[in-house]
Amino acid sequence: MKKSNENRKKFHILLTVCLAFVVVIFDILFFVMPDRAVSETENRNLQLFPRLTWNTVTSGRFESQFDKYVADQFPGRDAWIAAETTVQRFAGNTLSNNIFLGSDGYLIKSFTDRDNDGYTAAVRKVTDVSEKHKDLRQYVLVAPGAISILDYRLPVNGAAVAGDEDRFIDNLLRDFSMKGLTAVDVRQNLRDMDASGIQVYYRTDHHWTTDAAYEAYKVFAEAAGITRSDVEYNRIMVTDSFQGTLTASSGFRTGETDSIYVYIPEDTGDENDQGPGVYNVINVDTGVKTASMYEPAALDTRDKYAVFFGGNHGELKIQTASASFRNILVLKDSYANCFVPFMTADFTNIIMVDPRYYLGDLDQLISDEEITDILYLYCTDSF
Amino acid sequence: MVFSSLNFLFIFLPVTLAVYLLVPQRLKNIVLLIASVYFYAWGEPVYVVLMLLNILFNYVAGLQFAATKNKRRRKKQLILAVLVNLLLLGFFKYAGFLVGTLNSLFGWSIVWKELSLPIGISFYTFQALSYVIDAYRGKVKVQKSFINFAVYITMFPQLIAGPIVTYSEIENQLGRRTINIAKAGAGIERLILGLAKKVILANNLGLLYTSIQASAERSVMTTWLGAVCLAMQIYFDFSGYSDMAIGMGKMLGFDFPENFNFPFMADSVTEFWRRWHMTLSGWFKDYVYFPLGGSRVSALKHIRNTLIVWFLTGLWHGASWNFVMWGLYYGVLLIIEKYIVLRVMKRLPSPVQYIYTFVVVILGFVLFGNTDFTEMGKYMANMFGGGASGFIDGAFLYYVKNNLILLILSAVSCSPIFRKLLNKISRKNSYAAIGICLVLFFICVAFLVYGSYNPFLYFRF
Repeated sequence: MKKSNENRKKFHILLTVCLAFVVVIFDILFFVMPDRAVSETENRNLQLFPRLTWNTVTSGRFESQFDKYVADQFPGRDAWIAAETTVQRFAGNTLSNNIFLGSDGYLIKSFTDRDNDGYTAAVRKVTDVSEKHKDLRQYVLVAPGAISILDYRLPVNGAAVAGDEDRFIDNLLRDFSMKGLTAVDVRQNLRDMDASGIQVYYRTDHHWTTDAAYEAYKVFAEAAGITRSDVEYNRIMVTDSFQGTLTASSGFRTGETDSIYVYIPEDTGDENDQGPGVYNVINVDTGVKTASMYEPAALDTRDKYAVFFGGNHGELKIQTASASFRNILVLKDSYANCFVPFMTADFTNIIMVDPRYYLGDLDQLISDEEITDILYLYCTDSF
Repeated sequence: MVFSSLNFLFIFLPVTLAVYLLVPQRLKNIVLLIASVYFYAWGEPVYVVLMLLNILFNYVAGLQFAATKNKRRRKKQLILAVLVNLLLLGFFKYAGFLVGTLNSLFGWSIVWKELSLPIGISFYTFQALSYVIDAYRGKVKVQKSFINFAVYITMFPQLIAGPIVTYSEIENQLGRRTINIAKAGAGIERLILGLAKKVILANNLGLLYTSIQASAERSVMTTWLGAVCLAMQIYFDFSGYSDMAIGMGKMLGFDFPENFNFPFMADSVTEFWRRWHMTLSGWFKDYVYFPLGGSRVSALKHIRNTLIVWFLTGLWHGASWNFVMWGLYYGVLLIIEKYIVLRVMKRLPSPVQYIYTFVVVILGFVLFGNTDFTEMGKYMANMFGGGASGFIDGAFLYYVKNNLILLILSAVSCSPIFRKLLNKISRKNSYAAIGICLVLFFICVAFLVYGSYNPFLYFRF
């Protein structure tokens, strides 16, 4: 009994010493180590020492930012985060930040059902424009997420805790058809593609692969009445170390990477080549003109998907050598960035507009550019 | 500042403790007061003034009792002091609620700009009242030192979330208390256990409940799972905070009263309330229930007293009708138990008693956790099959599988098993026990670094 009490006292004394030691070590590291401005793994700016003024203190801003500062600059932050996810995985958790840990290394973003208002807003995102231009050929392509196409890869019963994206797409396509737009449904093609063993989505990112975008383009082309001339492409891997946003936000599978491929039209070797590989890309916002849709510099950054057009822009104009005399406006999100390159053979002018960054007048743009076709291409999250 | 933040654990607490331990005895209370005011001002840079005025008022009220012999004048002084405390609490916490209720009752449209609730006002007002009333009763000596009195009210471990320490419990410790390294170690052990309850269990149970509550369709089993998660979340959140408070109290040399005694082990509602938020129940007993006559009155009066106490208990938890409903729900249950059920229940097998208590308590937390009555109604209906998508569904299976370890750990932590085990290990092998504590602490740090999800539920009270 006496011995046991002694042990307990020893435990308490040594615990105090150990914990004091641990805290002091971390405090020293905290003050000595330089502050980091950016977290590569989290893909965001970290909180730096907040501004200390009378106003920031009395409003409580300084205090809340300081709390954040300590957490963001905590010594070994990335290692702590990795430790947390290890504990979570050890505990068998397959859902983190709305991202499922699927089979075969696939991280799959969950889908949240819309209420009535949310659904109406989604429809209006297209109809606000389409209703004013009924004379043009208009197409809607809803890019499905991996949760619809690779649903069999979800953890057992995982689908039960996520929304029904398939139904959301069904409803959208039905409603757009009824309003006279051409609904392009690529889901079956992507499922078939997956069944034949071709990768449809990145494992670490929510985007579809370039292969999938090509497949989707073929479906679109058929719907748009385009007879594809036989464009030959070279499929080239530009990186095998792409780690997408799903890894960063879920913390799952931090060791995995994906490969990104691009399709470059076959060089005919002809000096006067006027094929689909010849075009100009004009960034209307900055006025910069290039002869490539690819931004190789992005491959050296974390956001390697930005290799397509260098990311999202308000308005890009692509002038091709196509003699189709069809001018298409693509209202889009990032899913279109690896899709649009396949259009160069079939449209003379391609205007890509990302409504999130576009500040101009769309109706003016449509008449100025003599638009003949409009394609709405968004993933379900962007609706 | 919240305890479960890196800023608190790695900067505020160590710096405060270091200074506190280094300064001589006579300066310790001043250091503690400065640290506590800083701690409070961190979350409430403006309302700290309100708290300090409140302290000054109650300090002077105490001095007046000492200077006054006349019984009637003393009584007047008491009434004034109590009224001022209650009016301040009422104004900052309940004015908006009262206006809203009047508006909806009479169709008025009084405009009221909702004030933000000063953190901890419910806790420190009750502590101040315990002093004023006991000083009036002569149960405690009037505190002559402003510093000591201010330390009693502001002491950072219990300032914003309890336990509610009555003045009489701590009177002697304010002047002189034992501070030593073994006691500090016992405090650290308690702090780590509390932190783990909050960070590892409560936060993750909260996430699970939130996703269940947010889903449009729920099966009966899923809603029960959600309700159990909610109940355990509130328990671990609050009792974890109390553990941390008691632990830090020990580091500073104080012995605070216990606030929870494994309430989910109770086999009746009466027993549950002997184990849940004990310092609040104790306060109501001392300052409301007994003065009203307690149970030494006729049955009718006793029922009245019980309902008054539980109406107030509910209201104390938040300015919303669902809290009042929750309080009265317990008031009624306790009356039923006292007069009817307990006699019958004692003859029933003990599993039946546990299941009855469990179901009743879980339902109570659904009342507690939903300020929106439509949502609450829908959720309750789901629990009994109304509008539910079947008895069991894939979501239930997924949630259980995905959170199996969390759920098992939580369920076991509702019993004293872990605490007893750690005690036993530490008596056999102190190094093993230190290892366990450090690993637990490191896991908590990892969770804290990872998660910005760290809201403290009892800030609303």
